[in-house]
Amino acid sequence: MAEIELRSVVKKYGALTVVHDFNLKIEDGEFVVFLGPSGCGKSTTLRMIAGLEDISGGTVRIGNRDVTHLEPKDRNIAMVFQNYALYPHKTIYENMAFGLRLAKLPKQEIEKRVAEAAKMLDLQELLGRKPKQLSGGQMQRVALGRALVRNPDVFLLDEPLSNLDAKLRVRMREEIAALHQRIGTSMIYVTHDQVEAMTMADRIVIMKGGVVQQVGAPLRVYDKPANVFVASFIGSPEMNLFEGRVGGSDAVVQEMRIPLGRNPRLTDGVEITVGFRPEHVQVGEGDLKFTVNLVEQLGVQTLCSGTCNGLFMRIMIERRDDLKKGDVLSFAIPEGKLHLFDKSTGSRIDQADK
Amino acid sequence: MPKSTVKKFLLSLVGLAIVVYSAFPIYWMVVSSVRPPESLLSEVSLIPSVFTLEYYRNLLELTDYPKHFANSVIVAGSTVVITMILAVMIAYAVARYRVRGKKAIVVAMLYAYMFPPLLVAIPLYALFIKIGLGDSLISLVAAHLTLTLPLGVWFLWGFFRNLPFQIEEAAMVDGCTRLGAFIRVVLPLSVPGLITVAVFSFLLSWTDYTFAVIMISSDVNKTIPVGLASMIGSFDLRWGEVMAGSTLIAAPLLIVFTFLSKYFIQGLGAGAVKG
Amino acid sequence: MSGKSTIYAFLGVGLLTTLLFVVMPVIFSISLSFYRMESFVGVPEWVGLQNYVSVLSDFEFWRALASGTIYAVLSIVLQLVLGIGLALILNQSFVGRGLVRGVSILPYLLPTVIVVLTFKWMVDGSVGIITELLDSFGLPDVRWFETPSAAMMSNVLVSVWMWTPFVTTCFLAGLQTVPDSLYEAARVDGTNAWQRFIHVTLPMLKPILTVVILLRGIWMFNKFDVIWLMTKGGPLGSTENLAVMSYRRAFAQFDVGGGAAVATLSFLILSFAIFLYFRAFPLETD
Repeated sequence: MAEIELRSVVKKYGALTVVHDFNLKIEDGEFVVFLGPSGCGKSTTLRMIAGLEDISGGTVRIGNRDVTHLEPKDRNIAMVFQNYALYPHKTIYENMAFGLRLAKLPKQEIEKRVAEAAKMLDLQELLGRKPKQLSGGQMQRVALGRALVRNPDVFLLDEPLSNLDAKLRVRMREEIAALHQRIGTSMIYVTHDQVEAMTMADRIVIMKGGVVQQVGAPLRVYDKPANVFVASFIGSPEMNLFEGRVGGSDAVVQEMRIPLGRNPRLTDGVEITVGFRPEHVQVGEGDLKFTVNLVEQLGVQTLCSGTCNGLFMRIMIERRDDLKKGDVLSFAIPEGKLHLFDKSTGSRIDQADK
Repeated sequence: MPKSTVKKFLLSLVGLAIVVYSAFPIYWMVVSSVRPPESLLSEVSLIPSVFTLEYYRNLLELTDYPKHFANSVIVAGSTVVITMILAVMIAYAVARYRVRGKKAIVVAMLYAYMFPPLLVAIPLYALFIKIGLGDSLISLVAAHLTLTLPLGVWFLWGFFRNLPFQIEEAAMVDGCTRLGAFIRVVLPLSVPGLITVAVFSFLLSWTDYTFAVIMISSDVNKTIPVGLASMIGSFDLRWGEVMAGSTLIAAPLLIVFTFLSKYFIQGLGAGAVKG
Repeated sequence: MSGKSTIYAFLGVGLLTTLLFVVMPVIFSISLSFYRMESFVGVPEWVGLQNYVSVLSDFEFWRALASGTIYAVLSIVLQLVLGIGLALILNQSFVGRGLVRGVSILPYLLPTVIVVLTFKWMVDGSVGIITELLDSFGLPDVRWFETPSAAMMSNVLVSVWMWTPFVTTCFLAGLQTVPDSLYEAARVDGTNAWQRFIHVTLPMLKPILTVVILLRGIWMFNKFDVIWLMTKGGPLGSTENLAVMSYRRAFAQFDVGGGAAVATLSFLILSFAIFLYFRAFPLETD
C-alpha cells in the first residue's frame, strides 16, 4: 500500500514563502495532477516529495513511512524530468539499468526488469543506442522506462511533455495514461497544460502563488470551480467572466442583465463576478443578444467572439456555416451553468443547488 | 537546515585558504619591496612598521631596469598590434572560406603551438644574425609572434564561426563590398574577441623569458624578465631590489587583469570548451 | 567578385605568415641539425646524421628525456587533480566566491621570473619566510634545491602553483554546461557525490579534459624557463629536460647543430606521443 500524504508542507526561500501549507492525501494508484501557471509552486512541491528540495515545514509520508528527511534514493520514488535527463554517455540499456546497479540488484533481475520495461514502452530495438541518436519522443519513453524499472511506490513526472511537439504530446499522453492503467502505481504529474490535467487525472490540484486553489476530479473542477482563478484556468476557450452586482433576480453587468434563476439567495446590490462557459451558451432563445464579430470554424463546432451589450464574450456552438460578422443571436444561460463568485474574494457563491 | 550552513561555512573557510594560497606570495613580494633593509632580512611581520621606497629608487636610478622596462613595453606592444591584425585576417579567411586547406591551416596552428620554443628560437636567432638583426627587439617580436599567432588564430576562428554570416550578407545587400562588410560589421562585432586576443598576446609577450634570453644578448636590449633574472647573479642577492623589480613587472598585469578579467576568462573558457 | 578576392587576400597573408613564422623556422632548425656549427656566425659543416648519433648515444639525452617526462607527468597530474578540485569547490555557492574566483587566477598571470624569484626569496635558507614558518612549527629545514628529488619537486611545486588556474578556469566553464537535472536524475537513481562526479561530471567534461590535458602536456614537456631559472637543470643535470639540454648545447657548449638535433628529437617524440594520444582519445569535432 503506498499512500502519499503531505501534511502542512511549506517551502520558504529566506523570507519568501513559495509553497503555503500544502495538505493532500493521495490514495494508492491514484493519478494526481498538479496544475497551475509558471511559478505557482507545483514543481517545487513535486521536488519536495522527491527529496530534491528541502522541506521548510511539514511532513511527507510515502507508504506509511515518514520520508521528510530522507534522500531521494531512500524514498522509493522514480522521477521523469522535463528534459529527460538521460545520461548522454550511457546506452539506453545502461540508462535504465544504472539505478538498479547502484542498488546492487542481481544481474538477472536487472536484465529482466529492463527487458520488461523495454517491451512495454517499445524500446527493444533502441537498447544499444545512445540518447543523442534518439528522437524527443523516444527519449521521453526511455525516461519513463528508467522510472519503471525501479518499481517505485509513486511516479513523479515534472512537465514531461512540454518539450515535445503538439501531435507527439497527444500520443505520449495516451501512452502515459495507458501505462498508468496497466501498472496501477500512483502518479503525481505536474503540468501547466489544463488539457493534460483534464484528460489524465483522477484528481487535479490547482495551484496559484504557492496556494492550493482547489482539489477535485476533473469534471468536478470543471463544473464547480471554487474560485475565479480556477474558473478561468480550466476550460478552453476561457470562461466568460464579468464583474457586476446583484439586481433583483438578475446579475447586472453594466447594461447586461442575466437572470439568476430560481432561489437567488443573494442580497440586492451585492457585488459579484459572474461567469459562464462559451460552450454552455444556449443560442436561439432568451432575452440576451449576442453580436458576432469574429467567426472561427473548428470543424465540429463554431467559435464566435463578439459582444453583448458592448461587453466582449465568446460562444462555442454546434457548427453553423452561415454566421458572419454583424449577425445577432439571442441566447440564454441555462440553469446551473451560471457561476457566481464573490467579487472581492473571488470565491464561489453557491446557490441553493450544490 | 544546519547541515547546509555547516557546509557553507566550511566552503568559505576553504575559500579563504585558496585566497591565501594564491595571493600570499604576491602579497609577500610587494611587502618585501617596501620593507627597509634593516628589517628585510630579519622581520617577518605581515605588515612592516616602516615603509621605504629606496629599492625602487635604486632600481630606477642605478640599474638598467627602466631601459629594460621600455624594451618590454615596445616588444609587447608591437606583438599585440601585429598579432591582432594578422590573426583577424587569417581567422576570418579560414572561418568564411570553405576549402579543404582550411583544416590543414588549423592543424598547422596547433602544430606550431606544439613546437618546443627552442626548436623555433634557435633558427630564428640564426636567421636574424644572418640578416644583421641579431640581438634586436624586432627579432624578439618575431619570436613572440610564433607564440601569439597560433593562439590568436585558433581563438578568433572559433569566434568567427559563431558569428552568423547573415549579418554580413545583410550588409552586402545594403551595398557594402565584402571588405566593407568586414570592416563595418564584423570588426565592431568582434571587439570582445579582439580584446581577449590582445590580453593574451600581451600576457605571453610581457612575461616571456625563454625567447628573450635567447634572442637578446646585450644588456641594453634586454626585456625585464631577463633583466631581473640576471640581477640575482650580479647584484649579490639584493632581495629588496629584486622584489621591487618584480612588483613593477607584476603591476601592469594586475591592472590589466582587474579591468579586463572578463575577456581573459572568456578567452580561456571559450577556447577550451570549443575544443 | 570583390568578395572572393578579399578572402584570397586574407588567406594569402595568412598562409604567408604561417609559412614565415611557423613553418620556416622549424624547417630551418631541422636542417641546422645536420650541420656542425660551433657558433652562429661561423661556417656550418655538413655532417649528416652525426649530430643525432652523438646526441642519442649521450647518456645526458636519455636522462633529460626521463627527467623531462617525469616533470611533465607529475606537473600535469597535480595540476589536474588540484585544478578540478578547485573548480568543483568554486562551483558551489558560498560567501565570497566571486572574490576567491578572481584571486585564484592571479598565479597564472605572473611571469615565471617573478614567481621563481619570489619562491627563492621565500624559501631562502636564512631569511625566507617559509623557512621561518617551518622553523616556528619545529619542522626540519627543507633542502629545496640540494637533492635531485627535492629540486624536481620544487620545480613541480612552482609549476603547479602557477598553472593550475588554467585548468580550474577551463573546468569551471565546462561545469556550467552540465544541466542540473542530470545530477538530480543521478540522485534519484541512488548515487552519492563521488559517483555523480564519475558518472555525470567526468563524462560530460571529457571533451574539455582531453583538450586541457593535451595543452598542458605540450606546455610542460617543452618547459624551459621554470627549470632554467629554478635549478638551471641541476643539481648535476638531474632536473634538466630536453629544452634545457638543447639550450645548453647550442648556447653554452658551442654545438648549435647538437642543440638543433635535441630540439628536433624532442619535437618528434612529442608528436609521436600526441599521435598516440589522439588514437586513444579522439577529439570530438563539431
